[in-house]
Amino acid sequence: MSNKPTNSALSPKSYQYKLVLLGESAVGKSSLVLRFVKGQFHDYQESTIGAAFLTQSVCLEDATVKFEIWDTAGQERYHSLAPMYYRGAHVAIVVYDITSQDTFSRAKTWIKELQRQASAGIVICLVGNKIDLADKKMVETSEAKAYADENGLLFMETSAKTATNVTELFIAIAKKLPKNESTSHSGQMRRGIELNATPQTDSQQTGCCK
Amino acid sequence: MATSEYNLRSTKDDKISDLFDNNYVNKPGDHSQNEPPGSEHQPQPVLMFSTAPPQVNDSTYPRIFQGNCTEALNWRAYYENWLIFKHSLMVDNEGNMRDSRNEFNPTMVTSLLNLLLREPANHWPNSPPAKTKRSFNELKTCFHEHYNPKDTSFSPIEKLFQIRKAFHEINLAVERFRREVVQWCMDDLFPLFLFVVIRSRIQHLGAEINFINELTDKNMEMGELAIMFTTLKLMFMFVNLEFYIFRKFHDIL
Repeated sequence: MSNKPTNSALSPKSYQYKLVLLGESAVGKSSLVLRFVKGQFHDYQESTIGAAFLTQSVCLEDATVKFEIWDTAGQERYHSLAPMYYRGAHVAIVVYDITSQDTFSRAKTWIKELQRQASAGIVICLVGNKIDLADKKMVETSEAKAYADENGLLFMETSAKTATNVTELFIAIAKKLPKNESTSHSGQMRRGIELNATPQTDSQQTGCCK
Repeated sequence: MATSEYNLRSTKDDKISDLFDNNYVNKPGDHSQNEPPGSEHQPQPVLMFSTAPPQVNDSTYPRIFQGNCTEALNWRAYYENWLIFKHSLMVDNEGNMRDSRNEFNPTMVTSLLNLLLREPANHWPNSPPAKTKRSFNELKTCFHEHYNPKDTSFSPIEKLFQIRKAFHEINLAVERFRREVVQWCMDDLFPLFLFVVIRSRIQHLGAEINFINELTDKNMEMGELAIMFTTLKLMFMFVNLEFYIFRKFHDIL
């Protein structure tokens, strides 16, 4: 099974995070992720559903961060289904195309929705893709940057085609993520009933039934 | 009328009306429903999934209905596609519905793919009918063969593995058709999977989904199986949502 804990083989501390990609279709969501995943030192694990689900690790100085990347359908028609995808996500990357103002306003809608509905403490990241097409630029960097600062988002302009800023983006995210046991997936994995544990319930039942 | 029979049957099976909250459900009919106050009963909904009302902006989706003739035709065209899609029914010249689930109908396939895929030409480039027919049948059977939880699998995890197998089979079918390795993104995979799920006519899909939902723990929120299962859940939600609007609209007419 693919969601087994993998922390034992990696460096002393490893964390697993769920990352959701949002954005209008054809802004380059999957190209961005494929560029990141294939360009990394660790070889990536081929998944049955291609770029719709990918995993990749980023090594920082003190920890390894494993991203589990979920793609979503960007078409307007499926918009109302998105909350199911970003439920429980730790990171959301909202992608827009710098050559189209429409995709930027769509991205703003996504961000508003995320801030309202997603789990607390989610790291939201605004990404302008396709900066290799600088001559057709419609969304100004300053405008997007201002919006990101206002809402406390990570902001970066990338190009999946030329690989500009792609790895930097994911490293920035990895650094920003909180690294404590409660948010890491490795912590969650140890849940369940421990058969050898000493029963604690007896000592706690001292309230009313005595 | 034949349609209402089908509607009744699907309501019984899926309990569509229970899945979504009432203020959404009554929305499409608001403008022309003139029911006497007593006859309107509002069952307390058991919410299986909580959903926001759909906010759809695409041009093929008719948003409003105010009794206007053009709007009515738009709605009709849109939901006819869904009707065909869900029950494989065709409307013949006399206006009767007939069951064509075992027939191959190129127009139907084309209309469905147009409805579903962002750029159908990319997936199905002007192919000769025979080729389309073959891949259509492959897609149709792949889910049927591999996702058959009633006969083969009893535990949630087995059922999940069946879903993965189905995705694998979709890959194979499309790869055989296009003769290259496909690199799916969700934009393309979602409609295609929707197509396969609906065509494969799984019995009690809602119950199956609920079963898996209930008997898997929190760890199912991560991993490849989780995204596949979430996608399947969303298919079910989406079809019911769209089909519910269709039924409301049909009642009004």
